[in-house]
Amino acid sequence: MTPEDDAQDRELLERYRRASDTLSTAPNDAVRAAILAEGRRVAEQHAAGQRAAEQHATGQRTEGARQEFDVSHPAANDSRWKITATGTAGAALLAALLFAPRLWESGPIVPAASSGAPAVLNSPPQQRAAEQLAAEAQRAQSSSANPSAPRPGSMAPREQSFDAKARAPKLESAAPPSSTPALVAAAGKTIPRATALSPGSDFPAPPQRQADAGVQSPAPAGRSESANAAPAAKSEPPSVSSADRGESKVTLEAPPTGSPAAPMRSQPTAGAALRAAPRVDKVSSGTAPAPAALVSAVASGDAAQTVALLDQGAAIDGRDELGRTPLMRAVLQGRSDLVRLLLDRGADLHVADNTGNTPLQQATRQNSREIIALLEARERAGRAQ
Amino acid sequence: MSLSQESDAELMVRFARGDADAFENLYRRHESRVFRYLHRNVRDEAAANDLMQEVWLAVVRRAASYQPTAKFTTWLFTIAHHRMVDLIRTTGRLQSLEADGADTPGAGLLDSLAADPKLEPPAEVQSQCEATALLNAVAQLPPDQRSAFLLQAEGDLSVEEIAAATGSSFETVKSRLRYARTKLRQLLWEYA
Repeated sequence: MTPEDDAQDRELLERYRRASDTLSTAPNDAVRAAILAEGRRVAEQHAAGQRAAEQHATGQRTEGARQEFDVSHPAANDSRWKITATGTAGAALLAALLFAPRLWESGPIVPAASSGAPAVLNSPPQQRAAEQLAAEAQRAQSSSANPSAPRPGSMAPREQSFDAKARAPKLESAAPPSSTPALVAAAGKTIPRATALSPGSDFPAPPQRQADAGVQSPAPAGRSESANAAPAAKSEPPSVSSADRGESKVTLEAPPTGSPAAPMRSQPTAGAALRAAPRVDKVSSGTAPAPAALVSAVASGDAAQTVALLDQGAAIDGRDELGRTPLMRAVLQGRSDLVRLLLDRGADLHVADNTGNTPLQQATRQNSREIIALLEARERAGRAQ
Repeated sequence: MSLSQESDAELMVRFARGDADAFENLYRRHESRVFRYLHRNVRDEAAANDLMQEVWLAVVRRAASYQPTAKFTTWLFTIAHHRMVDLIRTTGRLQSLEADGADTPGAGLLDSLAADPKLEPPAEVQSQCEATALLNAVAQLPPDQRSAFLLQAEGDLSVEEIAAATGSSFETVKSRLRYARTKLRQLLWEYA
């Protein structure tokens, strides 16, 4: 579009506007009046709405000024204080439900039972156990003071045999045995303290440490007893197995079935309770060697180390990462002496490794005739039994 | 500042707050332009009056939600255009209106001059004749071209604003305006 065209367009628009003004038309008066009347009516509505809004705002300001902020109770100024309070109470209740059973189970530490009044306990089961323990202690004291005196009630043969052992010269403590393993488990931490009582004294004697006889305290076992009765039942009666070798370190080992009783420990109560439990398996104390250590010793052909580890309570059927037992490793090494040793110590000859091979299969594969003969002989003996 | 000096948007805001005088001032400021736009499109005074009332009632109803984001005249003439299109769509009166404008430019002016004793001076007669001829030429434009031209001439809208008001593209509006002006010049040349 050229500038000349723009000028012509502007001229045309000017001519039209002059013509439109010359022949101007307007709406009729009725339409104009109706429009203006509607405008005034709506304006009044807007004005009324505006006033109402202002009054509402003013009222809110007045109401807001009336509601003073309570500085002393800041939570009360929160419109959601009820929700907050409910949530806090719920959280506290949940925490109580979660922690109350633990507190109930552990309970307070039972003070040393005196010959007089029994200790006050919070939980009824523990209180009953403590009472029974106190009664046992009283009986033990009376029996040690007067062995010929009649004892109240009748005792189980196992308890009677324990009492005989408790009166043995090696017994360092005259503390009473507990009647059942369950009682030991229920009594929990009261056992060591009860055994430390000395006759005729209301105060517990200082705990006789293992330095006296080189005995290691079965503290872990005792603790497990207090938490759960099952570990206590599986634990072995403590015996000094390495004392003969003059070692200061002592492991807990069960005496072989049918063998003479091992020397008594300084924990007759726990010992009696644990002897009441059947022998389950060799279980080492908390410091038992790892299964891999025994497997490694066998793999290296170290018979002395193998014996030492077995004496320390190493699991005889412990597996390495391939599922091989010490017996399997002995077969692999072709060490018939170790195979015999392990079989004598009660190794299971039917345990297969991760690939499903049993020691006998492996020995057959290796054509180790001596070992095959050993294994087959043990298998026949096992079947005959 | 008096009401006559305030802008259209300011008057609308005052009207939305309840000022009846602001609305009356606004109405009188744009009454003639809106009515002429409507009247010259529909070429029927009764229909133009009806449309006029509808347009301004729409302005009244929408005053509370009015936002001065655009020029008030753009908003106003957009409402007017939509109302006019609705009327034409519902009554189909556009065909008859186009037929009415087929007579000779200035023919109605001669009749009116004969009946009006005030238009005796030759200059005024000539001006009236020219005005009538121009308006008749506008009436002979196609509806889209006529509407675009009137929005520009009466509403003083730009091409962009016309495109927005009519829902057309910028180029379409520009083309319509060019055709309209060309035809008007031709008609006026024929009249001259």
